[in-house]
Amino acid sequence: MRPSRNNPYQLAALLVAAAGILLLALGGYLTPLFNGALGPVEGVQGWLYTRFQAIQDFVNAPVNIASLRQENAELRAENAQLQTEIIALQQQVTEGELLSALLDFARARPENTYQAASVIGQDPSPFLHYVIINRGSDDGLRRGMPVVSQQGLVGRITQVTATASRVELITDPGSQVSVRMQPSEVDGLLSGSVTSQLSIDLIPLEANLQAGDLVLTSGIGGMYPGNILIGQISNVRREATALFQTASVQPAVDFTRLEIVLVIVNFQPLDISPLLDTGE
Amino acid sequence: MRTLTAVLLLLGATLLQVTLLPRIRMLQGSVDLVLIVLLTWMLQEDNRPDWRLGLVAGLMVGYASALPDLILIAGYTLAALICQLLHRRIWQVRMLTLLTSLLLGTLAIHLITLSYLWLSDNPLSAGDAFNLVTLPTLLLNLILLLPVNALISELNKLIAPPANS
Repeated sequence: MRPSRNNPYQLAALLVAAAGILLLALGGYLTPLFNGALGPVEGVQGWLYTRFQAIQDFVNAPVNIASLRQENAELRAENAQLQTEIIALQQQVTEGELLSALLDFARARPENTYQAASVIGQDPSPFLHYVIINRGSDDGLRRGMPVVSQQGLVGRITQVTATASRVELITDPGSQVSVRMQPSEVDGLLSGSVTSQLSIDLIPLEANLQAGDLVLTSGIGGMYPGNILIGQISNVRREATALFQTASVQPAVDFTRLEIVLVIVNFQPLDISPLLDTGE
Repeated sequence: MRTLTAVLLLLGATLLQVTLLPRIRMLQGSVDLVLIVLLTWMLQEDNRPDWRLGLVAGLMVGYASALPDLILIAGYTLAALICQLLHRRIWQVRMLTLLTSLLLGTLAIHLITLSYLWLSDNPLSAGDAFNLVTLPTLLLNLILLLPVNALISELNKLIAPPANS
């Protein structure tokens, strides 16, 4: 019953039938027929596929968990490293801002030569207000050199080793600085205290001081250069029986957050103690 | 071995005392970690209190402080002597001896320091010094005593086990 290859009618009939089926399929007339025929096949195919997938997952799962754990650990390590970098960068930004402010301060006073130093410690005694900086005689620092920050006067060097120095803060109970108030141009003597509060003594009674007046170094006595900002007067006390006025000062420098300071290395403090000797 | 451990502990305490602890303040008082470590170590079981450890502590703190070395050596040695005198003599309970030694030791160090500052013409008010420095320091010392004591006890067992074990 095989059609003969030489029978053109059979071939033409087959072509017409095929074209007809194709046209019917393209026209959508055979869709219900296909759906009916393919439905059970698709069902079987879906069932087989999901079972095969479940078996494949079961076989591959331990490998995936191990690789996921490894990837998780790597990501955690990377995250920790990035956090560390963020902290380091934030510190660098803060330090950069601080150095920029110090540079501005130094540029504003071109007559001075500065040596920057980091604060690396504080005095262990709560009665004293000293800090330790990481520059010493190897860096040209000497005893008596004034120390400033971008905000104002910090103190002066009292002891020097090769690589470190001890700085007496102006808030120390033993610190005394000759100061001048502005705009009144009145002189006084600034003293520290155990409570870190600054006060000015020896202010003449006739001086007219106001809260908010600026307090600067006067340069008298030769211990500090003149015109370095110390702070502002917060209140003035005048007693009728006293010979002088006293004033409290709000320091410009935040001594609890000292990190980097500048040492004025071209200032030579004067020792005027022989001139004060009465010769008794 | 025990002496070496004590010296290393005191060195570590001094470093912390100079760098980190001054930032922890109550009024004007700050923790005296060196004194706490000194007394805690001296009163550990199997340790015999030795006043010479106070001398070592005074030397270390004196190196870091602007106060004369002699003042701090005298202060810490006196504190160690007080501890040595109280050890198993007044109370058998170690914690009570530790608390009393810490109280008297802090007062001794502050009294010697203040005496020196007064003699060197520092205008310090006795009331301010006691209320704003000594009392807060005492309180901070007492607060830190328990954790430091626990830590030193563990270190004592770990680093220098008792001789009879």
